[in-house]
Amino acid sequence: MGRVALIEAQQLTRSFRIPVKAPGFAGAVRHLLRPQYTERTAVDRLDLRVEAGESVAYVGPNGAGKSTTLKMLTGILSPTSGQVRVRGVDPHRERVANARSIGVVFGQRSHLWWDLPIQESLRLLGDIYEVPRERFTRSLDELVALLELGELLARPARQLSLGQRMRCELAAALLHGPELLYLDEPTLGLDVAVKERVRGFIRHINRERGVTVMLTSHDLGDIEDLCERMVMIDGGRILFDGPLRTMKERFGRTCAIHLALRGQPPDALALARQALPELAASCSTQPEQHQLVVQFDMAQAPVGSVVGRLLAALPVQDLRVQEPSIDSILRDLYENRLQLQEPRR
Amino acid sequence: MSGLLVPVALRQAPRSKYLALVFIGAQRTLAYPRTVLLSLLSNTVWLAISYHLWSAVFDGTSQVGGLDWARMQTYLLLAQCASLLLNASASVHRMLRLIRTGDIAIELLRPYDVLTSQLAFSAGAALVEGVLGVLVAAGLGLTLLDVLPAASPAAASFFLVSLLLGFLVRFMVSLITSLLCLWTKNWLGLHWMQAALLSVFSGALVPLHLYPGWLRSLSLALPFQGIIHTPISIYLGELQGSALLRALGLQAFWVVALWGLARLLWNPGRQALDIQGG
Repeated sequence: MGRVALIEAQQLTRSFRIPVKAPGFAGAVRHLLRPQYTERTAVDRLDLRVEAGESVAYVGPNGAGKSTTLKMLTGILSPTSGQVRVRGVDPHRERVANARSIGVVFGQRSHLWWDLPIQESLRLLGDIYEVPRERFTRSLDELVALLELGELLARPARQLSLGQRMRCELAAALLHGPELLYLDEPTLGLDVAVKERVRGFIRHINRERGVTVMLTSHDLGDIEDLCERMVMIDGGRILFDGPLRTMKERFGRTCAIHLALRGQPPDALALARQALPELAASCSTQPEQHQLVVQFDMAQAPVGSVVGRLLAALPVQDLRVQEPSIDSILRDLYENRLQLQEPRR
Repeated sequence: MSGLLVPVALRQAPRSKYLALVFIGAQRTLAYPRTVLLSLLSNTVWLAISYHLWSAVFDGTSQVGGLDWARMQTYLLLAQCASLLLNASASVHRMLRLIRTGDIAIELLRPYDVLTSQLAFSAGAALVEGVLGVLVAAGLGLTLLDVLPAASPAAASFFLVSLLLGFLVRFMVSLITSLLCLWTKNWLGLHWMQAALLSVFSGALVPLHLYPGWLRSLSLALPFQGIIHTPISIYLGELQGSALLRALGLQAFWVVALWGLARLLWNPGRQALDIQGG
């Protein structure tokens, strides 16, 4: 696994022009006579470096600039300023050269021809990417086996379920043997079993075949299962870029302790608050489950001390400590995004 | 499982990517036989209406604008069949649809020239609808209408060449219209404008023969006449010798010029493209 930069973006920026219209008919007429626009910066001076063999999760709330970044990396959109190189190639200017070496799966768009049997679509893609016959056969055999496409090949894309279609999309994106695979919300709308299968496949091609994977997703399972590195973006700026582990250590500070109590003491909440004066506001009850929950910032008090004091003060029957998950970290970050964000210039 | 794979593998003969797209265009058109039948039907209805309209005009006169009734019938039939070929829905609407829906993104991910690939795809679609058009022409012409044969064997073959060039002009016009949508973001107005220009200036609605002098000169100066007027004039033997060659040359000139214009628009158009979200 070399330390070769596959993707290098410097100060990559893309803004869109949004028409400003006053509401109603009068506003529409005024816009016609004197059009006014504002600029919206979707991606703002982004620096990114991805090395060969990496698997990167690219996350952020809706409208953060994820898709726009991917569209610039894949050569669909041109940057407003800054530059990007993928394998040393400018993906927008040298679109065709770039297209040969990448595979892209969009959760919401299809590479397959809607009304043609899957095998026809795959064959046509083989023609378009000029895959030599032998390699095409080998590659197709392998993908069909890994993704279990055998029965789907003769059916047109429009007759497939979303999960079946997504498996075919993966085959379509990888048939020409790209070094780099971009996935835009690949598991959107899939059921748990299919998600698992799609993830297993992506993991396989990343770890066994050394295909570099860059994935956007709102699905935390995708991120935790597939990626070692996470890049988080909001408002077009990178908020975090580093190993998933560091992410957890740095931001995952909220810990929840769930307690089941013997005999359902009516004053449990008061007792807990007494035992934990500094965390009094963090204690709550869930009456229907006869449970007491203490949710707190681990920087405020060590978990061990909190558990010890709770055990001493209450008739605890069962205790469960919930450590921070990527899920809760992201939720926290999305909700309080302004605290993390550096001031905008 | 490998049993299923064999046919795919065997048929993976080396094929140029653009040729492959021609096949796909044809195949996709065939995948919707009802659409094709409907456009055949509506063309036939339109033909019947214009036949009756013009037969009323010719009632009592033997000539209108230099056309007699037999030539007029021939004109109507050929124009309807040519427009089947020329309005092959895939060729007219594909690029527009791609830009409107943002599916152009998928095209931009593929290692081919997007404009050439559109041409290849449209050619495949037009081929299917064109063959059907010719079959209908032959069927109706031989049974119901009083249609003249081509002026000469040479006229017949030049007619086919001219029809091909007409298809290319038609394709370029809709391609350029679609590309303009990258800037205007409003496709409907442009599309209507294109449709109006085409029906007035190509000779699809009324033969250019019947236009007053100034309108006729204007029509002949525009590229649209090459779509219907030129091929039919060749078929009828109105263009011969050097005039015929000049007409074909003019069509070819427009094809090249419009293709050049489309290519000029493409790169800045790609800059203007914005697909936000999804």
